[in-house]
Amino acid sequence: MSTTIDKISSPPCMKTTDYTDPVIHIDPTLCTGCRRCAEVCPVDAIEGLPGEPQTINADRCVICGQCVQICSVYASDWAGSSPQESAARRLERIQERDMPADIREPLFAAYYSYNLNKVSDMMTKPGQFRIVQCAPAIRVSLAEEFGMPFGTLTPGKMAAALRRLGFDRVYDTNFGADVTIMEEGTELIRRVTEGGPLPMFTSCCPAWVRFAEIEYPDLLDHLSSCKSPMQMLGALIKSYGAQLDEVEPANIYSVAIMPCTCKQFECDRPEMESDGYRDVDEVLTTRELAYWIKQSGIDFANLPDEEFDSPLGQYSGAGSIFGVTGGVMEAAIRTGYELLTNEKLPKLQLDFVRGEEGIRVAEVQVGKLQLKVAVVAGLQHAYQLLDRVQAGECDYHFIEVMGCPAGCISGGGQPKIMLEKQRIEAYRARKSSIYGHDAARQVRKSHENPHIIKLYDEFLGEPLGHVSHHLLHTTFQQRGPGKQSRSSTISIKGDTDYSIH
Amino acid sequence: MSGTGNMMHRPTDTRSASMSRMGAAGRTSAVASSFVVADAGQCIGCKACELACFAVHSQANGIGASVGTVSVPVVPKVYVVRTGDTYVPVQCRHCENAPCAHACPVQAIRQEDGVVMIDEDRCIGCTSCVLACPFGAIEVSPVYRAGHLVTQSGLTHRANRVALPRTAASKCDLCAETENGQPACVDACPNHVLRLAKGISDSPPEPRREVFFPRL
Ligand code: SF4
Ligand code: SF4
Ligand code: SF4
Ligand code: SF4
Repeated sequence: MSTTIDKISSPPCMKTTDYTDPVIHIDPTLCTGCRRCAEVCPVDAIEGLPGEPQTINADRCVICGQCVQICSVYASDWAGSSPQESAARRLERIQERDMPADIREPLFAAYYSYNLNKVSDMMTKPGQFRIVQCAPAIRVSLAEEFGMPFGTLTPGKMAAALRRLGFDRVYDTNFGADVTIMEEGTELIRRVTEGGPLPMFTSCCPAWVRFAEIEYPDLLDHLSSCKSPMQMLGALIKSYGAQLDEVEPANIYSVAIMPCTCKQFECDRPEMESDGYRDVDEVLTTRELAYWIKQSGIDFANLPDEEFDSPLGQYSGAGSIFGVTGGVMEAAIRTGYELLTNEKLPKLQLDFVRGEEGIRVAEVQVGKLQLKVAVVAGLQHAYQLLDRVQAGECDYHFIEVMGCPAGCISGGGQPKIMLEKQRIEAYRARKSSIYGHDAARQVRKSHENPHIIKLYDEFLGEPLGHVSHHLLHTTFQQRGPGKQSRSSTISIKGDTDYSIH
Repeated sequence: MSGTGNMMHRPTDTRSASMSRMGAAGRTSAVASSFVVADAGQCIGCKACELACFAVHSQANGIGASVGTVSVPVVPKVYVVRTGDTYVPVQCRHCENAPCAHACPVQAIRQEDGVVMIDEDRCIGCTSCVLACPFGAIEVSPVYRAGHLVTQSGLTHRANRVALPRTAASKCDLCAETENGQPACVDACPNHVLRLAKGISDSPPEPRREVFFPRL
């Protein structure tokens, strides 16, 4: 086959950009210019005339991967003048994209940078202690890549598969989510009681963080200083985890499996390191994990259920609902309520933050405080709310923002659905599976997770303490001149007083 | 269109043009012939129809809802073509006197309940139907079963003696086997370009082979 591979894909960025790999690409030799991707892009980053190949403005793109999810234009295997020529062209494309050579699925015009080859090469290097963590939204979607019904819950098979792929420890981002609640909840209480910048925004979604850095840099001090659960767990793996396992942090190779195309960008941010070690070394998406399992000949459907490793793989129900929109809010209220009032939360299932609307708002009576909260799903819905914050007209205390339309279960790295009409069905099934997983857990509040209690006793001291500050918190940076994209149309659910009693 | 009993839900220029090309505009037949029509100017070329078509016709190859379950090449039965600035999906018109059926030497093409169907097992891949079809709706492609390429014993590649794939004709069957009978492409199109046109007719079809192939 031909060895002269010009970089046909990955069109040059329209403008200079602050990072080297724009992650999201459109193959100009395939793109028909249907612009369906532009319809779902929350920040108008896709540029071009209808009917012409599109380009991505990398300075504006927040790497949510929704364009990759919707693009339905694929490379036809029969377009060449001969089957041999078509096969050679396909192989060229696979190499351009750095996808596994034996991949059999169709290649679409919009795609993201793949890391699997890099990771599987690193896995063979001797002398490493290999650790993996998986996001809450992977266990409800991975099975779809093996033909199982939408939302099939497979945490046990996933852990078993990761062990067979060669990881020495299989940890769970859900544990990192529990830590996030401890830190973020404490930060919120402190801001509410001491008059810090309010509303406080969540900071676990890297696409949202990037969006704020590009579009609303003047509001960055409203973001919680917490790293995302992935980065928190990454930092703990190379500190607390390294101590427990008696390994040198330098010898730890730390991989994260994420539903998200933006997580690689997050993990590459220069500030995401502690004591000279990267918090997380490499990120793979749900789809890449599926490629890897298939490539290794693992019979996923018939794997036994195995446990995650202790302690950094032991999570509460609150940690697991981070995968859906409203989940961070619900988890935070479960803990925040009890920390503030010293009373037991009367009802664990907080329906007012669950839902599908772009924005949901509610007021919750927490002791003497009337806590005003909002949940945003899909960045196109964020503009109007942020404009109000900018104008000083938004008196909420806490706002959760997730970049993707239904939260991480609908992330850019999740299984790509072929029939558009099944997308909602898939999201609903994944969501109810996550809620079911939470409901079935014995411990459903982050601060009651015994391994979290132990972590703070043995290692961190207290939330927002010195060690936490060093390992688990971060800073943000301005990346653009301010608002440049569209404003949104929103549908708001709620706006009524809500009492938990 | 001078149709007498032909009730098109959505008559289009495409339809009348094709009818006159058949030299039989307005003739009616006993068999109700439905087909998918496209509003050419509206198509944005997203190929969602192709993907949907492939997805619903490939379940026997173990293909589920997610792209990751696909292990065979995507071969749809509707083809989005571009001419100049216009995209248009092309698929079988389920002609009343199907020229492909007339051309098929082994009777692999039959009309069942107004739907022109190709029996892949019977097809010998001779491409007569491809040449006969005035719309370019038929493609001859390798056959996959249970996710694997079917090879044809007796046929080998001259140089490396590898068995060659068995090929068969494939085209739109109006999703004859799907549950609600709604063609998948019609469902999938984000721009509502495609519609199922229902033909209702009352008199028997006439042989029209001489119209199509005067010198055959
Ligand atoms: S990238 Fe895909 S969805 Fe976007 S315009 Fe091109 S073909 Fe259409
Ligand atoms: S990744 Fe998201 S922000 Fe970037 S172009 Fe695609 S849809 Fe737009
Ligand atoms: S919602 Fe989740 S998947 Fe989507 S961009 Fe944010 S972190 Fe990534
Ligand atoms: S789905 Fe509709 S718009 Fe897209 S290519 Fe097919 S006919 Fe055209």
